[in-house]
Amino acid sequence: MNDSSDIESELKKLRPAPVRANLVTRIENALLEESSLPTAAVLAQKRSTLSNRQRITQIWRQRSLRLTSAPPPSIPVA
Amino acid sequence: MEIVVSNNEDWKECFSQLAPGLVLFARQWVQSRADAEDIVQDAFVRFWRRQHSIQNRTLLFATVRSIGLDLLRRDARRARREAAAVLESDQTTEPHFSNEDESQRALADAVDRLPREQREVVVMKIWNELTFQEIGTVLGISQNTAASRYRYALTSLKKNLLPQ
Repeated sequence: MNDSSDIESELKKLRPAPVRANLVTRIENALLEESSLPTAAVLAQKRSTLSNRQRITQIWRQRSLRLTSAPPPSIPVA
Repeated sequence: MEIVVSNNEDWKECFSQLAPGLVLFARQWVQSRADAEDIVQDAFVRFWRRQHSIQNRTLLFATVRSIGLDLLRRDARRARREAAAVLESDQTTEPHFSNEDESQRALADAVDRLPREQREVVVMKIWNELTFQEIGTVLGISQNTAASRYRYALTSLKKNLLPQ
């Protein structure tokens, strides 16, 4: 037991004064107000519904279409 | 103090347990109980927005402290007026503790006269049951510094109050 244990136990006998009953209601109202506010100013972009695999297939298809529709390379005449 | 919050409805019960200690902690920066309750209200709403759990008590106490200190800095003139009013009214502000007899009142006054850095450690340790590690986190100091401030405070209180 240390030297200050007597003063420590005297301090523990003091009870903090109770808070006023309306404090919990005030906090509740503040939390409710908070939850009714608009949440964000930035709208989320619509996410693609394609899976990664489908997305890769789609990209390759587009590239191969571009290649087939491109004019044949010109061969320089010597 | 073991506090477990399982859902959003339990905050009221947990807050009711913590509130008297929190308000006592907040009264280090303001004289009136109403102002201290305002600080606790703001702190709790800000805290709950981020946490949804009272398990992280250090964040709650750090938020109360931060709001209290902001108020003090922002409104130093008001604080001085309040301090003057307290002196004029011969310390007849609302008591910080309930059921105070003569010796308990002397002890409470002695706690009030402690340097702030010691008083806040005592308030967190005795009436809020925070560990020295938690107190260190709230104040941004080491666990050992928190413990030594506490020891200095108790020694000082003992010297001032108890018969030699």
